[in-house]
Amino acid sequence: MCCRPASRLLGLKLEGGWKVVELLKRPPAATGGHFSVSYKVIDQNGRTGFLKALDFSKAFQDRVDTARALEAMTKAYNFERDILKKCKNQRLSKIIIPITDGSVDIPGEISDYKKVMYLIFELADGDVRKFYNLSEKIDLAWCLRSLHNTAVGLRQLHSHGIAHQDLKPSNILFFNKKFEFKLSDLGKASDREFPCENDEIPVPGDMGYAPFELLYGYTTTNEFYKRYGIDLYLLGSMIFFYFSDISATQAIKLKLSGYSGPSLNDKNFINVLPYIKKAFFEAVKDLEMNIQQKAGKLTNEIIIIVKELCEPDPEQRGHPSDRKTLPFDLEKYVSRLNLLAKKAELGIY
Amino acid sequence: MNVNDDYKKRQIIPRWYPFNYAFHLGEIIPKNKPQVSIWTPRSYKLKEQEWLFCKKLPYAIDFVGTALVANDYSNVNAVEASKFILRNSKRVSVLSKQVAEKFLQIPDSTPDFDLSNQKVYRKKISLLRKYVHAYPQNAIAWVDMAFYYAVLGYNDKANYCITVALNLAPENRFVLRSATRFYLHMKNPEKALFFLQNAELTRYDSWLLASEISVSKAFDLRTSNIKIAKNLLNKSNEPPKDLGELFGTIGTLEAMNGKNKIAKRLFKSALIDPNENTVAQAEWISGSIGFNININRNIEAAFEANSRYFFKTKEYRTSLEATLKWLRYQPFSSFPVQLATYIAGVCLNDFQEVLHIVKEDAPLLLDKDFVIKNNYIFSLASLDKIEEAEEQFASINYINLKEREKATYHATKGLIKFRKGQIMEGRRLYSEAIERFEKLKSERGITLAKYYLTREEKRIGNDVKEMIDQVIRLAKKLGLNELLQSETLVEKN
Repeated sequence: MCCRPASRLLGLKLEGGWKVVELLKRPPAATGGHFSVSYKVIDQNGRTGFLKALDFSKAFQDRVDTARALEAMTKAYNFERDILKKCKNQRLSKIIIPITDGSVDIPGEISDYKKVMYLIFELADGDVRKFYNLSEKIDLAWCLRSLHNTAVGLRQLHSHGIAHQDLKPSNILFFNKKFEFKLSDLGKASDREFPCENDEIPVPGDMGYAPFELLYGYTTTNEFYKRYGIDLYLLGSMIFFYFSDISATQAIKLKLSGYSGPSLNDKNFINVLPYIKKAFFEAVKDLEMNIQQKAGKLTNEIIIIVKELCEPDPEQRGHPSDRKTLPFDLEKYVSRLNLLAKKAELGIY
Repeated sequence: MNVNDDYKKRQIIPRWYPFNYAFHLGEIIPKNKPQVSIWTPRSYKLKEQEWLFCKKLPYAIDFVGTALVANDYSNVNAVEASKFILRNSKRVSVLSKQVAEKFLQIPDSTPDFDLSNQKVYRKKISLLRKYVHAYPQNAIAWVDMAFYYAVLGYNDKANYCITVALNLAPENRFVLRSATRFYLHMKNPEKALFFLQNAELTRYDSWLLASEISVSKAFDLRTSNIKIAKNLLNKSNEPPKDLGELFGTIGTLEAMNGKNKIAKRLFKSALIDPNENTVAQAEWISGSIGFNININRNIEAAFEANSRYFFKTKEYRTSLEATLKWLRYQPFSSFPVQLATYIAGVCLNDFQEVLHIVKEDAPLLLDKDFVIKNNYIFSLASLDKIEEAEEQFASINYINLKEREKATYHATKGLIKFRKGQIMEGRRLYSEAIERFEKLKSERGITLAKYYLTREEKRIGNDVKEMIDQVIRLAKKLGLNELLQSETLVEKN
């Protein structure tokens, strides 16, 4: 591992006065992508950043079609970079956008891939999992503000034709000083303007969070706007996470009474949808009990939001009054979650 | 005392029970070991590594939850993580604990298949009403609510619930099969077939095909699905459990057409992994068509099959026990109540038991089903509770009865007259009943009427030797063993 160029950035000085000061030790795959290494960087003014160094060395391993692997890696990198650039240009405040990007030559490296490309992001204090222990010790205001900021982030993406598709606790970062939450990792996103590989993948995001229509191969994504429906489900799933420690998908699967669950061969989503809906209702019932203990009078409104966002039938998802005119619109949820967060912050519950 | 004659027409009509029964009995999905399906291997691997890297509850829960979604039950790390969650279960939510338990496959409880507690029905309805109010899109809850309404006899309300469910989920097996059974309960087979035949799913779902063909054949209605069903049976790779009813349905058709060899082969396939309905069909067909099939009756909820089997082997007490379980399992169905009262009354000569069965297990059916009412009145009269018998008898609306029922009506009226000491009137009414059965060519009706006339004549001390000989002849011809071993006929010797 230490031989890989991307793993040898520690101590290097980069363009713009950045210095690599710490290798962020994470599980081998936990780098937000499958071919990157993470570092902490600091600039001349003492500003810290998070550096994501792209590791293309895997493409040169034995038994790997190097050309194809390189093509896939660079495509993925370029897509993420372009989409982040778009977010930066549009000044999307609730998205983690790169401060800069560039490349650096690894001293002493003589191989053909001595140049390491990188992206530097603002350094968060951690993803929400770091600050959220378990639903037992939940801080209601913190959770609701996180949900509100997440909804704002998704709305910002949607308004610029981007569907995130991989919203989950590890992709919501927290900035303690500003008490702010931002969305990260657009590696599984789809952009209305730029078709990419993610558009062809049946389950672009984490399967533990993915809505059931994707797990069943039910093609709702032919029309781009339907991808926004996935984000709505994932937003609702975060409510499940905060109040019960598991995602909506995991909770529904749990309630499918031993049902073996979907497989890629299943094409009968519509036929099994009533069972999924029954399981969903039972999961919401249990969730409601958990929320009741923590959120008191706010429970009812939170449950209504969960039901609308996580509705298993994608055709029925979202606010009822928006389904025909503005399907999967997030505006109402931003307002509702903001109101809930404010009430929680003021202790009115 | 009688029972509706189902000997010529039994088909594999779908059962109707609450969703948890259907699920437990494997009618919703096969009970095979689920296939591992990992759609996003990288993120899954990451969760596993995160758990191994940092053994804390949030990582354990997310990893096990995702392993559950992927059906990756053999993943040793996920098993370890599940145990870790359960060791710390006080610190996690109920749902997280359930995820760990489910992953370790701590089994769900087995239903007791006893729906006889009528006090529960209203509570269930009240709960289900809350459910559909909270989430009206829950078609399964609507069907379950319809079930409990139907059991309580609120057919209009049940109809409304079924209509909503069909609108919500017109392509769902459980909804369609439940609706089918409901419309048959409402004596509307055409409507049952309408929904089955209009569902696209019926073209390739073996359970629905079986239901469609069975209902069509049971009510002499048209079906165009037999060829499709045969093709499906020839080509399908579905598990035997899913094909059992269809094999049984087509096997029944072949047997009815006299193709016993083919029928036997089809039933052999039907019985590889059958449900109780298919086993009951095999039991029925082996008795009525007359060929022997090896039937494993050790199937969950095989109450009807056991009832039929023990009836055939003249173990009437055991047969009654099985029939009582059957009627508690299908509480809105009148046939098991008819049979239970028949076995208790005719086979066991236990009229007190008949009264007990009706009062305890089928009070709501007493005023809805003529046969049950007749058996109840007959038992009251046999126990010399004449006043009560007459009171019940007066509530029968004679004009609405079918011809066969009218004949039975006269026989029972004859019994009451006998017990009141009006012997001549009693004889006249029994004769009229026998004449009516003769017109209907119901040998079974004739035999039973003559048998009970003999019993009454014997009771008042008349010479019944000739009558007994005649009844024995008829009973032997029809295979009515329950009469042959009765006191009325045996005491002759």
